Amino acid sequence: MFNRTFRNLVAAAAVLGLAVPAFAQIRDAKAGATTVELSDKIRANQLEWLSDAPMEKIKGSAPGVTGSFTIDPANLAAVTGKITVPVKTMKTGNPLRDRHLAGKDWLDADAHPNITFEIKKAAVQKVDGGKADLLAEGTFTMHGVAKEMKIPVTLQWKKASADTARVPGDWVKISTKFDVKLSDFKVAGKSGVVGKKVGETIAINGTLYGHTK
Amino acid sequence: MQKKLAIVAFVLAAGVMGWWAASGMHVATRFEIPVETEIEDEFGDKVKKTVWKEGFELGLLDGAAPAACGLVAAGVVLLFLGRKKAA
Repeated sequence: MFNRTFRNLVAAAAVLGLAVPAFAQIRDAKAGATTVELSDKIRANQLEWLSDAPMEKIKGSAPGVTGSFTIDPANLAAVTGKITVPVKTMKTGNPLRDRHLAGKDWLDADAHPNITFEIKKAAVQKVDGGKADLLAEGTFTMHGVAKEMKIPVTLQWKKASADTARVPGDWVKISTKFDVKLSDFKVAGKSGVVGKKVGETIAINGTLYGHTK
Repeated sequence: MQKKLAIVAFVLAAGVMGWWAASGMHVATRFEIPVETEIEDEFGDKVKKTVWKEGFELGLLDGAAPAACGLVAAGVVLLFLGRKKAA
């Protein structure tokens, strides 16, 4: 009898434990769908990336990142939106290499000018005060190849106040770290370069800032 | 005279490779250097950001190797010419 009750309690706790985060609300944020637009007015947005190959480590950044998303702080799982990185804004510190990166052998910016991540929904993993850990699910498109991906994202919310007066609206910060495998997006590069001078996998990380409209 | 010039060319070639090694041994020359800075943002977090600063770090394939090879080749030619003249 005791065992059965205990088992039921454990099962109920597990169900509640899984269900609560999906409906948990971020502290300080008003319920209801709102649009968040990335903005360099808060801080310069840029994604950073690292190619770690045996012959060379190449560090680069993409300062031209833009995007917006619609989010309901009371229903984080329903987030939708799009983040865009124009290939021609990506830099490595060497103008010739930047041109190669945007060239036909690599990301082919003329044919595929943008790298995008279209967010369709999210799995809420943890909500703690003004912070939420999500697994954003959507379509990552690079070099004209679209792939469904789940990208870990930490979302932070700061309610509009005297501190945030210089940019109207609530402020939102998104932090992310994930890897992209070049072969998944048919980025072959010049023969023999990938795996030697350029990593087969590129590590991407970024901290982006935006505000509600 | 040619021998002396050849030695200068070899020393310069070694110097170029030394400069490349001291610059961080990059494959390609960098005209902007990524500098990682840590700031405290408006959310109270310490965030690492890369800032690009103007600079110059000699690369192997597009700088050091062609220059060093050219200097070594010039040195060899000078040595050859010097020996020919002496003979």
